[in-house]
Amino acid sequence: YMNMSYDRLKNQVLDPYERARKVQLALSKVYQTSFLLRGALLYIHLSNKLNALSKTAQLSTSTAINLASLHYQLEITLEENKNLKSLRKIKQLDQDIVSPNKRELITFLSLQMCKECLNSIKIKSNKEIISQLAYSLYLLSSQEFESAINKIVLSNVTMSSQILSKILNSIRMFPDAFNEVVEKGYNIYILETLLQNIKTDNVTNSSRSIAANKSRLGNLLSEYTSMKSKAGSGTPRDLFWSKVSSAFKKDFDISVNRGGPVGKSLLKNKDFIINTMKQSMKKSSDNSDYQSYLDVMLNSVSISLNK
Amino acid sequence: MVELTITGDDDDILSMFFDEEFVPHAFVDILLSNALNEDQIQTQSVSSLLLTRLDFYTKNLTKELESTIWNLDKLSQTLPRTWASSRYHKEA
Repeated sequence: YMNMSYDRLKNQVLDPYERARKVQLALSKVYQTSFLLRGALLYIHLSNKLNALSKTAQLSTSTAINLASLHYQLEITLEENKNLKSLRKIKQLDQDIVSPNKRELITFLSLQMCKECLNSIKIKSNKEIISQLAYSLYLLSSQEFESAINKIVLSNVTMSSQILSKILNSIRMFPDAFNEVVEKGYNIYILETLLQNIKTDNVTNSSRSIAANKSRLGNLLSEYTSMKSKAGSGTPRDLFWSKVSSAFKKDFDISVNRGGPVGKSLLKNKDFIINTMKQSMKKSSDNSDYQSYLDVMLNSVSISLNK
Repeated sequence: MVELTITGDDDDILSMFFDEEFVPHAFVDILLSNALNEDQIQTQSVSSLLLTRLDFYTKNLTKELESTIWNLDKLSQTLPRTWASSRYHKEA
C-alpha cells in the first residue's frame, strides 16, 4: 500500500509538479528572449529610419522635427526595456548613428529656434514653427531647451541695454527708446505664452527634472521655470526684465553721479522718465500682469532720482 | 551556432529554453552581434522569424502549464482522502 501510494503520488503530483516548474522557467526565458528581441528589433528599425531620413538632404526644419520624434521613440524604447542598452548591437547603433545625429540635431534645432525668435516680426508670424522647434528640442534634451530659451532672452536683453544706454545723453528721446525695449519685452511675453500652450503631459523624459515630475505641471513654461540654471530661476520675462533693469540701473547711476549737463537733465526729467515707463509698460503684455515688471523697471531709476 | 539553432527544427530551439544555463540576454546579444556587419534586412528578417516561433512556444507552454496546474488542482481536492486512507491502512 505504501509503495502504491508513493507511486501514485509521484506520478500524479511530484512529476507533474517538477514538469510544471521546468515549463514555467522555460516560459519565462522564452518571454525574456522575446521581449528583448522585440525591443532590439524596434530600436534597429527606428535607427534605420533615422539614418535614412538624415541622409536624404540638407537638414530642414520639418525633417529635424521628424528626426526629433524618432529620437524620442528610441528613448522610450530604451526606457521600457532597460537591458537593451547593454546589447552590443544596440551600443554600436547608438555610437554610429543615434548619438552623432542627436548632437547635430540639437545644434540645428537650437540655432533655428534662436533665428526664428530674432525679431518681433518673426516671432509674431512664426509662432507655430517656434512651438514645434521648442517642443522638439525639449524632447531631445531639456537642458538644451532651457539654454536655448536663455540665449533668446539674453540676446534681447543685450539689445535692450544698448538702446537704453545710448539714450541717456538725450533723454528727450527716451519714450521711443523705451518703447523699443518694451517691444522686445512683449516678444518675450509671446514666447512665454507660446511655451505655456505646449503641453508636456505625455512626455516621459528620463532627463526631465524630478521637481517637474512631482508637481505634474505639464507645460513647457512650467518645465522651464522648474529648471535651475546659472541665469536664475523664474519665467523668461522675469529673467528679461530683471537683467534689463539691472543693466539700466548701472548706466543710469553712473550718469547721474557724474553730474554735468547729462546728470542734471536726468534729474530734471525725473517725472518724465517715470511716466514714460508707466505708460509704455502696458504694452509689454496683453493683460494686466505687467505691474511687477513695471516695479522692477522703476526700481532701476528710483534710488538715483530720489537722492 | 546561433544560425544553426535558428534554422534547426522546433525541438532544438525549444530545448534551448529548458536548459538551466540558458541566459536570454547573452543569447540575443550573440544573435544580433553575429549579424553585426551583415545585411541589416537579413538580421531583421531572421529576428522576426524567431519572434514568431517564440510566440508559438509561449502559446504552447502556457497551455501546457495551465493544464498541468488544473490537473494538480483537481488532484489536491481528492488527495487528503487518499492520504487519510493510506494512513488508516498503515495503522491497521
